[in-house]
Amino acid sequence: MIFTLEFMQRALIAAAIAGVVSPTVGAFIVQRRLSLLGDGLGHVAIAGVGLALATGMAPLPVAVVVAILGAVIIELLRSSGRASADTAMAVIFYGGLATGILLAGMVGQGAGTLSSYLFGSLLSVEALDIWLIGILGAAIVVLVFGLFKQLFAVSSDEDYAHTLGLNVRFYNLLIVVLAACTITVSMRTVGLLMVSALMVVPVAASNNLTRGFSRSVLVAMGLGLFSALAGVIGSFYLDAPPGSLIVVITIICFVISLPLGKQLLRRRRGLQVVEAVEPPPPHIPADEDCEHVHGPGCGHRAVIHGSHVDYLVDGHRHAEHEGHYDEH
Amino acid sequence: MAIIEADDINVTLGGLPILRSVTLSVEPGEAVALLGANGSGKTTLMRALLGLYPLSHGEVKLFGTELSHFRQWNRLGYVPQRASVKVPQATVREIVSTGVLSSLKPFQHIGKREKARIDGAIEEVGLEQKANQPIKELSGGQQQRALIARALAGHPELLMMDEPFAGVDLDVQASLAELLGKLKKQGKTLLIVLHELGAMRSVLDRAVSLRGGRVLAGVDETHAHHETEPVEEPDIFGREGLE
Repeated sequence: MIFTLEFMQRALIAAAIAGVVSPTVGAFIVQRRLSLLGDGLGHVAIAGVGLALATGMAPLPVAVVVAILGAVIIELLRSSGRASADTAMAVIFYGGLATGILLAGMVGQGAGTLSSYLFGSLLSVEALDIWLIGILGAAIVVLVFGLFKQLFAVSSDEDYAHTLGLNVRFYNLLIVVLAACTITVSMRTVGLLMVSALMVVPVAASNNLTRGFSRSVLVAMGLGLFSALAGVIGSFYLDAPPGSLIVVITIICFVISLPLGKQLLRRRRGLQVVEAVEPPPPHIPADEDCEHVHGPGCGHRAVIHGSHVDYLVDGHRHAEHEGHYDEH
Repeated sequence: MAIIEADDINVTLGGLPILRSVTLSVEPGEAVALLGANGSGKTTLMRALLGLYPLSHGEVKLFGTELSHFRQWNRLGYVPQRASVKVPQATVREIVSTGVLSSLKPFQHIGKREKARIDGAIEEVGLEQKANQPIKELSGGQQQRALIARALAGHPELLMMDEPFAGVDLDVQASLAELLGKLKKQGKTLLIVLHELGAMRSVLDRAVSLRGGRVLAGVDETHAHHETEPVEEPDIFGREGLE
């Protein structure tokens, strides 16, 4: 039984925390159109891991510090609004990735050791990590839900938030710092190259399925938890890095959410309403051969047209009129 | 005491002078329009009054307090252009709820009083039936109402609205004007950026016309008896109001 294995228990706990926490921050990241920021911060955190490997320190705390520093610099660059900010961010992202690999390589810890941080690993979650992941995860959840309304206001309408007296710069900075912490929470299980997928994809899937922002966050947390746990368990049997499987599962959720969301939307909206046109349409019998009687389930879509119901036939609206159908 | 006082303000954006020595004051209970063609600086003026653009000269006072020291944000409600909301799946209630944040501290929950204000604001604009619908499913006029409700939820004394009629039908404009007239009767002060007076003519006390970033002296369209629209000015900066 895999649940009795100690390393699997640690991996499952770490994955569960990452799965729940990532979408809460991800919801705001998606809202602010910063979906790729998480990816960049993951690259920056790699420099932290490289530094830790080179100096013999514990990777997780160093990665937290480096990622937060990177987040602050990126946010300051972004909010400066300068055209060069985009290029500067790219330099930071690739600089982080390259520095990490270089530092790890210099002390003889080549891509092999680093890969467990890049793609996640079941075996690498140590007891100390669980504590740090737990504390960070709890802090993120407390901050996100304690300041949920403020973060929502700033993400949905920055100028308006300013006129509420909210410190917009502070909250913007808080969102990216929270993203940096989330990345380090997830790096053991999902891996730094794919962490942002767990922040973004469950939110995207949930947005297809739900109406309302808070509800979408809750559903995204559920999807994140499911994907993370299923990914860890599956990767044990497949002997694959858990990160890849977790991300593949979130993407499957997203793909399923596309048609499912459309169907839910149709059911919620019910019949589509077409405003009645004035004056009433002239009497034009439909030319299409309409042998059957329109009714619920006749295969043609029904729309409410003013006082009566029309049926859509080849892009025309048919309305019943004394035993035949009129064009409407 | 004037509720809004702008004294000889200049706003320069990207090196271009957008507002030039604008002086304006709005008294409590007044309904004032900021009128002008595209690029005349009317939206910039409203945003400068709210502290969203820095002043390169002059001073703005809200409720008698200089803007950089102003903290009583719950006394004003800003209604931006409706394209400003970036969370299409958020419900009307979620959007309106942010309006009470000016009187809430961080980590403080929405209590009974705030909840009543949110419900009251939604009712005031007539969106009770749509409260739990995502804002993207609403028509333009309804979205505008939702943004007005958001501003009203904070129980402001002053409403500052940026082109509330942009992109809404004439009959919807009339019903929005009716709503604004009702708010004015409740004693609220209104400052409204408008492209043309249209349905607002009967609600407004006066209009301030802008052209090329300056206030046109002695022009008050509300008391003019002709029905002409403000003249479409060629945009002297070659761009639209720098939004």
